[in-house]
Amino acid sequence: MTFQFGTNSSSNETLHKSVSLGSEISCIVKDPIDVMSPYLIVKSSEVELTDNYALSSDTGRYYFIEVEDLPGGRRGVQCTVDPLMSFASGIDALTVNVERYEGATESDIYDSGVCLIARNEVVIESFTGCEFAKASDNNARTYILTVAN
Amino acid sequence: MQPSTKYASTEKTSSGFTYKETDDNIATLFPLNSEIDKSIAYSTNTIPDYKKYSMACWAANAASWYVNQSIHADIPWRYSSSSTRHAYVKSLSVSKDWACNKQCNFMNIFLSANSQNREYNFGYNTSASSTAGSFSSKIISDFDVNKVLFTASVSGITKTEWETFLSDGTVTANHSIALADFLENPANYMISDFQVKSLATWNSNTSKWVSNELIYPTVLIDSEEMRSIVGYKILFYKNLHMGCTSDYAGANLYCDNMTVYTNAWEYGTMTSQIDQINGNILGPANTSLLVYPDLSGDEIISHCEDGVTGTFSTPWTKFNIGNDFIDMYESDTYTLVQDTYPADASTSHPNAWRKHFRQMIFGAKVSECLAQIGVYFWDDTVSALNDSSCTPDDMSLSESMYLGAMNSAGVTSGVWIRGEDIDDYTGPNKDGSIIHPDFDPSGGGGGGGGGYDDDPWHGISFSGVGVGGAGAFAKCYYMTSTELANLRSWMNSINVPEGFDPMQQIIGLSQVPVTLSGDAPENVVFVNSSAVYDPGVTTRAVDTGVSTQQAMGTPISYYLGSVDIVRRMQERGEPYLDYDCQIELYLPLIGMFSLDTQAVMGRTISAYAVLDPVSGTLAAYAYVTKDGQNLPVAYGSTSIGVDLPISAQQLSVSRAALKQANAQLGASLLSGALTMLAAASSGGKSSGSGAKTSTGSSGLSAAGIREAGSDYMKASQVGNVFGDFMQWGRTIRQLSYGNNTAVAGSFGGSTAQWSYPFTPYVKIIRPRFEKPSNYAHSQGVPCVQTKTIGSCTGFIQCVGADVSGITGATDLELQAIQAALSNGIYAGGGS
Repeated sequence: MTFQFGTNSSSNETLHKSVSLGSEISCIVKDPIDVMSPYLIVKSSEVELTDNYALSSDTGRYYFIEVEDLPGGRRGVQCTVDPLMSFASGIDALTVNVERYEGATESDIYDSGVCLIARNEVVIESFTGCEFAKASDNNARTYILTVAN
Repeated sequence: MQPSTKYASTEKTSSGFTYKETDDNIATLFPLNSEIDKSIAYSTNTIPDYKKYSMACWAANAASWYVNQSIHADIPWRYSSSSTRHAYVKSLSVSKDWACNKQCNFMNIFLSANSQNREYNFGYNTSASSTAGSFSSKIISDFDVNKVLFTASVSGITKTEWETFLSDGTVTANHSIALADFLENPANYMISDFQVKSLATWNSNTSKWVSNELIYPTVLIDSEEMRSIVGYKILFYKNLHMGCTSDYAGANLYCDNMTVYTNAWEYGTMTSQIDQINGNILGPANTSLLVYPDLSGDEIISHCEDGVTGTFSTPWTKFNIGNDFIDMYESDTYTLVQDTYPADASTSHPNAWRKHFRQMIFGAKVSECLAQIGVYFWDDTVSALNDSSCTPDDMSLSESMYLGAMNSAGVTSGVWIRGEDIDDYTGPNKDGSIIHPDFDPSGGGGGGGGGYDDDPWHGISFSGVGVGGAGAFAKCYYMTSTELANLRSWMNSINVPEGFDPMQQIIGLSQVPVTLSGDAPENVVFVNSSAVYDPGVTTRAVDTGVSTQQAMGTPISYYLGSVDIVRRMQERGEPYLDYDCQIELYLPLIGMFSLDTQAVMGRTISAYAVLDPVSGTLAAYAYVTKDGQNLPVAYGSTSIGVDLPISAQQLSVSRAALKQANAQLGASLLSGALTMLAAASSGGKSSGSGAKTSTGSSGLSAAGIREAGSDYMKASQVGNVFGDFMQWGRTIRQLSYGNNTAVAGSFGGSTAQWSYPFTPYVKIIRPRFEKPSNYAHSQGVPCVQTKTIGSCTGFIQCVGADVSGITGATDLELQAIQAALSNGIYAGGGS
């Protein structure tokens, strides 16, 4: 099988990762062969110990990899499939109900994730334009006298 | 809409139609309306009720006949001249289609008469001039019957005289029936649904007549017994949109002017003329009608200089509308205000000085926008009647300003407030609310409004709220402490008629913690029912000479202001937390209310209070406005009135004490009074020593009576001495405990603390929260929307995503993808 080895600078949860891959290399796949997590044996010069990502040209799958030195100028590469990157186009096409989204514009939904503090803020705001207050200025008083008429 | 040419009795001309009558008998001429009716009856059968539709009109613009569709009133109208020829028009009416010429908003009907062949012309003219025969033209702007009345240039006769003429043709004098009848029955000439029957507007873009919905009733000020009118003032409290609505965008704006008519005359002889200020708003021809001048806070105010009368050579009133000045005065044609001060300085008969003044304003929404309207006078009636030299008083402008309140018909109610008193005036307004004394032209005040800081027409009208206390046999006064002390002094003076006990006439006395202004200044008057009434000689009224304010017959409405409930949590990034706020409202003297946060958040809370001074009840409510409707959010009431002690018996004792040795009071009276004292004392109101009561009951010693009277005097000065309720309370305790004198009237009443704030406020309790700065990127924010993942960028979390559409993946991979989506991924390569 042929692989391209290189590095991935994105987080594992990123759908479209930013990767840098080398040329295709023919690799020996150790038995038992598992497309989800194959173990490859390659020449030491064909993969760097710092490589963390690979692409299988045969299966079209991307893998997280861990490289280890083997005797005889060889290196072993433990691959673990990255289904997000491998099937990114298919995932992009999914229509889903989004529960949380970084770019959400509707912000009046209660967010249980926000940490509320037990101390409330109390604000007093007076009405403006109160003519009743004007009428009571300076200890105003009016006597209402009712007489027989 | 075009009648046929079956106007057999009319003659079509280029400017209308002419009706000719050769019969020299004026009585047979009069049934002109019948002729017109007949004509229309002949003309078409399509008019369902021809009596409601009279003349057809020739519209030069449209080159068509238009049938009148807007009959507003039958206007008995007569013109006369120095000759004996008369013309009578029973019904004048115009077509709304015809009335609004696209070139001019005026619909001019001129009536003329020729003394030789009695030719009567009915027509129209789009210019403001017309003459025919020996009679001056009469111009009717629009078709407002009030204006017709105003154009009448003869003074009135009685309605009876007119009815006599209708019945037998007897002419009694050269009088304007319309004027006379209007004075007697103005309501007959009011148009309630004017805006429905308003002018049409010619839309040059669409070449159609469109109904003008912006014409509102004329405001008519009618004031009798005012004179020396030298200016006027119009104050707007909200925007006056002069122009058409956007529905008519594109039409020429040659209509919708604002016109102010002032007219003054005196009884007996018509001396004035139509005075007009006419300001047309001329929009650019064939362009849009986007003229919405903002008059909020503007005021038209002008006045004549000293002694200046006649035509003014230069415009002296300019109307600031937005960025443009609209000249409201046509100096070549009109005099703005005629000084009605008697020209003859030797005139001595007061009745000859009586003047009428009417001011009429019409235009788009004018009456809806008016806050105050007033006129300037050199003299008021009293001054004029007592000013034999006819010399205008040297009053400041503020003193000579009179404010008129308007009633529901747009006519002044006759209540005119003078000069500096305006600031204290809170009279009824056109809708029963309170006319506003505190208009702030600078646009100050809160509540988001401009100009008024307390909009008198906003909110719910309190009309219909009853006033307790005063009834058919009672009268109320609003008194200051000084006035109360003055009354007390009078009651204990020798000016009290012999045998009359004014205390017996006092039904109640209470106090409220606000300043009240009554209807009008008035002396406190008692009724001496024991006096012998002799018509023309004596009355039972006892005028105390103590000037105070007559209480108004309606509750008093106060605008309590407003406050904006701003969504602060939204500003801070978690808007939903706005609805976690607790909002409490304090209504003055009533208490706290817990409001529905959902109802008030993000809105403006406004509040009103209504005080019934007589019962002392204060009711208040708050509301928010949503979708044009006021939604009440809180309501409450309390009593802020404090009943004060009155005691007719005490006053009798007091007077007896003052007179001391005067033994004219019968022993029975004293005995009765003191029996009352004793009864009151034992009734628990007096828990003190009771020594003085026992003094009274142990013997009618002069010393005891004198002492009681003295103490009462001290107590009755409370209104003058003490300022607040707590001191009142001490005084009352002094009365009941210290002196053991009785309190005959109920004491107490106020359940509210006067020390509480008189201004409403809201208390908002908001949550506080914390979240990291990268919260949205690392955790997202609630979304609850359906999206394609490819359309998103950044953190996205989808629980229960259907991943079956992904091809080529193993089951384990699909499960892994679903789990990743459930936990959250960064779409679009966003991290």
